[in-house]
Amino acid sequence: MMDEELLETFRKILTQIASETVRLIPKIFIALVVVLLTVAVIKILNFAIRKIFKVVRLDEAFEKLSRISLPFSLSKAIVWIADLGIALISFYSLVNLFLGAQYTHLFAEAVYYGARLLSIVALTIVIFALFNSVIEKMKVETRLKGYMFFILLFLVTAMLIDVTALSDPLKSSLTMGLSIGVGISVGVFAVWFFFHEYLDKWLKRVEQQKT
Amino acid sequence: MRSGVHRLKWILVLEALLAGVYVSLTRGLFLIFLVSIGYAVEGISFVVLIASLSSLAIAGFLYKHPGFLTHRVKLKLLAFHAFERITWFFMPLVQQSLMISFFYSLYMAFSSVLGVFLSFTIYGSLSEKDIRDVTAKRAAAMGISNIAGYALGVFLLAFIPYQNKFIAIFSLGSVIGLFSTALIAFLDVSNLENAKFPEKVEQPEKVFSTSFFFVTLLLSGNLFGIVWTPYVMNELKGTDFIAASLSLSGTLASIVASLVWREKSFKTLRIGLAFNALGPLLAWLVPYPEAHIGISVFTSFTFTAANFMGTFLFARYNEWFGAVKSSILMVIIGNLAQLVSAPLGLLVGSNYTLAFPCVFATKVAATALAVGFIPEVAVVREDVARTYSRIMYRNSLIGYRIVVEVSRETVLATFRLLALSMVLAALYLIYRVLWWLIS
Repeated sequence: MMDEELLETFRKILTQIASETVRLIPKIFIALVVVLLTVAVIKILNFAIRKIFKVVRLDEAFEKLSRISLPFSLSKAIVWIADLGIALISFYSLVNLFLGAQYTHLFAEAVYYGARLLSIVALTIVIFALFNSVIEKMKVETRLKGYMFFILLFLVTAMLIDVTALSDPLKSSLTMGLSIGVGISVGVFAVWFFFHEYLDKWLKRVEQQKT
Repeated sequence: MRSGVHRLKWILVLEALLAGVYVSLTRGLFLIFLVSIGYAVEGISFVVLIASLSSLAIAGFLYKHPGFLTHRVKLKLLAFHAFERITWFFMPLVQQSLMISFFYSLYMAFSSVLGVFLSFTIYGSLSEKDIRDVTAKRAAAMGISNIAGYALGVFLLAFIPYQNKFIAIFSLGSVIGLFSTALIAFLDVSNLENAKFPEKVEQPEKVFSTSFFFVTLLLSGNLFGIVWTPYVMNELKGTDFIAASLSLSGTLASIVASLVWREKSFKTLRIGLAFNALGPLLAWLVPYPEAHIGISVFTSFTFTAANFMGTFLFARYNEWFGAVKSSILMVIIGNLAQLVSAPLGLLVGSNYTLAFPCVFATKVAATALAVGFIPEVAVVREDVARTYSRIMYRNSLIGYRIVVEVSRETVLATFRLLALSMVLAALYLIYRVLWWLIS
């Protein structure tokens, strides 16, 4: 009796698995086609874009025109962004196919979040590239270089706080603190930058009076 | 040997005699045909511009690959001679701008190649003295048959019913033209088979100065032709008869001038060239329309001298420049002058106070080029003219290289920007699709 029930349960489970598999087969087939298509499109697109960039010589032209040397290849970055776009479209299709419309909302949120992260990365890269170029041109002394780097780190940290999973009040107080810190730091620097000769003289005079 | 040259010269003169009628009945009436089917100035300019460009391209190709001319010369000469004439059978059958442009371009292309072959035959088979003789006689023969052709054309235009008019006239012109093709079949051009052409030009500055002079001269002649008749008719209120007489008297004068100037030295031809520069001034300043017939005689007579100067100079350079390149260069010069004069003519239009001084300045420039830079014609010492010529050639060469380099850079930059835009457009498309999907 017990054996029969067990067998019946197994039979039901297997039937369910089999029926789910049968239902999934067309979806798997379509997913395969989507993946194959994605790979093909990426391959073709990469080939075409690389050929075009070979003619355009984008990195060379960018460096020549802007006099800014990026820490990465701009043409490779564009190829990568194009590939990412195709992959995301393909991934969205697969999510829609297997998980249904309710999960696509999650996917959209993930894409928005990814976009925010990417924008922070891009902005950081741009800021550091500009920072490098300014330092190269102005031949800034090491102490000043350190100070500028310090301020930039504060700014990047503020941007990173925005995308963390911390609670909103904590985020806002952290950002506020950082902003006040950056403001004071810039103010002190400005005072020193414009009045340091006067301040030096004044300090010297105070020391002389003390002695 | 001498009888062979004599025979060749006579065939060429007879060919010109028949070709004159053919040209008057076909190309001479082509503008009237275009106007009759509703073409305005812009349409006509478009057709002429496309055709000039195509013939210039063909001539340029031949200059780069002159070997095409030196193999199977007679067969190619005959074929292009016949093709040029056959094109006119099709011309009146089409009405669309594109088709007319196509057939006229085809005609101009055949005409260019034929012009090169005929010049090659003349320059490659005859001495300088015979070239002068045959050029003058051909010009005179063509002038005479032109008059007969135009008379026949006017008669046919007046008496043939409208719908079949141009089919009949162009077909008749083609048939007469094909008779001249039959004459060409009797030419012996075996001496031109595998003719050698110098790979390197010995005195490029001389060829450059002469070509520059010739282009300027032909350009001035074309521009003068564009503005003069409308000026006499619209500004001076001359009658149709006077306008027609201008052309007729000019042709008659050129017939006589061809025979007068053919034996003259370059120094004498120089006088004709200098006097020719006065033509546009006279035409502009003389207010009596009837007097313009006399001016037409004067300008045609002197222009023939100036034109012969260019042709005879190339006949002289023949020895070291080669018949092949001389012939092609002369066709290129003719086409270039036509190509430049058409838009210039449109630009100055009916602004006669600008047009006539422009023509005068161009003619003066041509005279200055001849008397200052061409050693054979120069008023200064030959060695001085040669030095001037060399300086002008080198400066022009440097200028040309700079222009080519700048143009190349510009084209490359445009192409690169276009390519980059394509990539960015592809990126935009991808992310637009993604945005559309997730939102």
